Amino acid sequence: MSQFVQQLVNGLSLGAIYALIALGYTMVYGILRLINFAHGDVYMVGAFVGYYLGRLVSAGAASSSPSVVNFFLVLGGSMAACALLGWVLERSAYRPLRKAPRLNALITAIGISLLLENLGQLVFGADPKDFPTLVERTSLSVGIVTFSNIQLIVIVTAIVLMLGLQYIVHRTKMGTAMRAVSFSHDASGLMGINIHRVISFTFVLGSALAAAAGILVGLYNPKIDPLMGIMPGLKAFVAAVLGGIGNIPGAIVGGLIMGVAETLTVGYLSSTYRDAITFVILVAVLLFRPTGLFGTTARAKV
Amino acid sequence: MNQSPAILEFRNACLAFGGLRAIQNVSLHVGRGELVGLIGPNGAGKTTLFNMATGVYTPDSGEILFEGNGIGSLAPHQINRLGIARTFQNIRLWGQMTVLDNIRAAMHQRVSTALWQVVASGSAHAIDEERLLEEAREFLAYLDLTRFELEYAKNLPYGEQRRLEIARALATHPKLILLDEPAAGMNTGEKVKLMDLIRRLQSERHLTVLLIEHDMKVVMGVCERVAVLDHGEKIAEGRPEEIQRHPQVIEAYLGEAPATT
Amino acid sequence: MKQRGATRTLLVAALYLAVLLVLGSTLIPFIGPYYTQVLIFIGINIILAVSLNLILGFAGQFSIGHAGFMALGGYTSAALSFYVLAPLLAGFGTGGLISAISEPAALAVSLLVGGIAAALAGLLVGIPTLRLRGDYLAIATLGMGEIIRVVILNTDFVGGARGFTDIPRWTTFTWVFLLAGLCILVVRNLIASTMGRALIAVREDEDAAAAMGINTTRHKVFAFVLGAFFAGVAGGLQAHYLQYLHTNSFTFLRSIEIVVFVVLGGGGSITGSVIAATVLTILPEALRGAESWRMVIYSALLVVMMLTRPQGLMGGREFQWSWLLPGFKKK
Repeated sequence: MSQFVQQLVNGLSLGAIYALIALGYTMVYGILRLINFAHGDVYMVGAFVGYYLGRLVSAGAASSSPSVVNFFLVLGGSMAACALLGWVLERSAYRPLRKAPRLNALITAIGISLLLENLGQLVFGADPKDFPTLVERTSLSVGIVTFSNIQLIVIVTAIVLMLGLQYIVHRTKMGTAMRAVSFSHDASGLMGINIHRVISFTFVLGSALAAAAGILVGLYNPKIDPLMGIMPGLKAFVAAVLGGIGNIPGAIVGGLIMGVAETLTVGYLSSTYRDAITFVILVAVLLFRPTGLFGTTARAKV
Repeated sequence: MNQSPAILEFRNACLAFGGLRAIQNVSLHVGRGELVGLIGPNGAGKTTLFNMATGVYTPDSGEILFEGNGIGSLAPHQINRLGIARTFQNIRLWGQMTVLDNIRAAMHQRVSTALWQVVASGSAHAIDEERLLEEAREFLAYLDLTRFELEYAKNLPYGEQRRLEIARALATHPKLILLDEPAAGMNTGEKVKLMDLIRRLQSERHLTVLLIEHDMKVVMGVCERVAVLDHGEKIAEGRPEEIQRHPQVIEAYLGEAPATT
Repeated sequence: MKQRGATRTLLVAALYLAVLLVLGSTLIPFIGPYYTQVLIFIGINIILAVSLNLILGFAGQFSIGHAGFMALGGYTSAALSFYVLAPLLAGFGTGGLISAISEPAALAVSLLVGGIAAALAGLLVGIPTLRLRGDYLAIATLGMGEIIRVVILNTDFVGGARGFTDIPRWTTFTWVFLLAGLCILVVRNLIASTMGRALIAVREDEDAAAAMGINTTRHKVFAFVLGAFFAGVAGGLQAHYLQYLHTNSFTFLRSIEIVVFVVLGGGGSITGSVIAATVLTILPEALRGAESWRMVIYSALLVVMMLTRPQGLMGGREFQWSWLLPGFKKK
């Protein structure tokens, strides 16, 4: 029993990371109907920006500053860098294809994904790197469950970011515009909403969240490499599909389910099925509920 | 009113999108060989009704009958094979195919060559292909599109694209054709020709025609009977001259006067 | 007149086979194993590219699991040959004439079974996902490819993580190009038929296709299954040439490589697929040493192509004899 609860806690912290990535997928899909395959690689870039920033702050004069400050510096810096990356990608690769067939945009997204991975291997090197220790790992126990302070940081940071996202989407003008554009490009355009700006903003927001996930995974599991985005990217995408793609709360729930499913599979079956479970879930969703847990049936407009 | 036997009939059809009731309790009877108009303000549910009759949407309740058989739950391609063809409000041709191939692809269902015959380009296949080509050219000639035969559909002028949509629908050998705003974007000369064509569909090809149209001259000019939709409900039905005087119809159009040009 | 199509097809096929046999017995021994290998890889990649073009370029369905079908076909036919056919052949003895007949026959059976296995997998994935619209197929085929890989990795019967070794070497130059020719012929004739036009109509506008009586799901599934079949055959050819299989050869990246062939050559152009598969098989060989740049170039090419010339090299057109011989006009 205690092992089960333990796995659950581990699964939730892993799931929180997936959920952060899944949010970017789901927002972009909601607004552009595009699977942004490069999203997992933005998360990788986020982790690498964090790696270099982390070495900088822990080696430089700031080494005396408390680890919390370092963590926020690295987190903020990486989120800003990836927000910029997201903006550039949207602007240069996706915007020109706005009127093109969706297949073209999808192929472009895959091309961007491969480009980031392979450039990553050239620039960062193909070998795995140790993410700098920003926060010393300590163990905490509550009752029968033991967890690390890192897991706590992961979950708390994820919750704060998700609340922030909820605020932006539901309480700000830009958020209202995002929801309007995801409903209908044409109608939003007629209402005077600058669609391009809203789409750019969506990429910026999603990429910043992916960067945060990259930093959190660096704390949690400190080996990073240029191909690290592929699997979590796929898992996060499956999480988004599971929750109902285009649905923000769905992405969060989907991410958490994916995380828990993965740790339970590893804990009770075998670690060779770590990645296969993702696709088993995917196939099950596609077969039985293609619109996901919270999705509504999208009716084709004729 | 229901003199002729029905070819298409809606019986208390209802459809909702989420909370929005798009079609409420609509009953409509289209007799064999009739030429019926469907009018109403924008968003009244006219195209939605077409989509229900062609299997794009399944009614939440009520029935849709074609030649007496329920078709509410059939898929679009099955309904087409029974004998209902349509055109689209926002022209939906197969742009990257030639005009000829647009017709030939629509005739696809009536070719039954075995796969191996196709692959080996065997004799049965060759006969089929020749017959197909001949027939496709007849449809093009009928709609005066012969000279565009090898043009890509997307490169045709607007009016010709509308005609090609009608030709494509005819190529599926329908008994009933649904025309969704066929006159939209046409100039006066083209409209006159279109009205003539619609009448010929009825007289020469013995087709039943149901058409959605905003242009009142076209509607009043060709339709024998007109049904009016507003907010998903049928508010009136009758001969064109009756409809023009109908108080509810005039009210529905208030502030959105029927286009007369 | 009526018979001319079939007769011409047979004639061309016979001529093609004769050329292959002659080349196989004269050119191949002459150029040595390295160039033979490059040629064989070109042939295998042509099969993969043309068969994916049927799914991606003609039917407009985005599958990124072609390597998965290849793996399934490869492993199935390899297992059949290794466990059943090769021992059977050994029982016949290894006389020159006997093996000259029995080996090709065994390979044909083996490839056919591999192709069918891949086609069945395609049917299994295709039926549920092709009902859905758009991008689900991409992600489902990707998932299927990964599941196939994990299953193979955990199947000791076919070598698991060690790889499958000692597969009989039955693939020859002639076989590879015979099947590449067959694949091109099948796809070309299919596309020129009413079935092909219906398929392209589905790509161009699915709703309109359904409204004109085309059973869209059936057509998509059909293209998908036929494409998977040829991918499986390609996998079998590779297995019986390299005599070794490992799941690492069938990752997502391999699928992407095939997508690149199709996109660069031009979706909807068989000629384009053939050219792209040929050039992009030779190019890395010519650029040996620049391995790390290869995928960077591939991916950059993919993006640049989509942004500047999304219709690809050939833009949906096909090679015509009249390009070479201006006087030779095809009716």
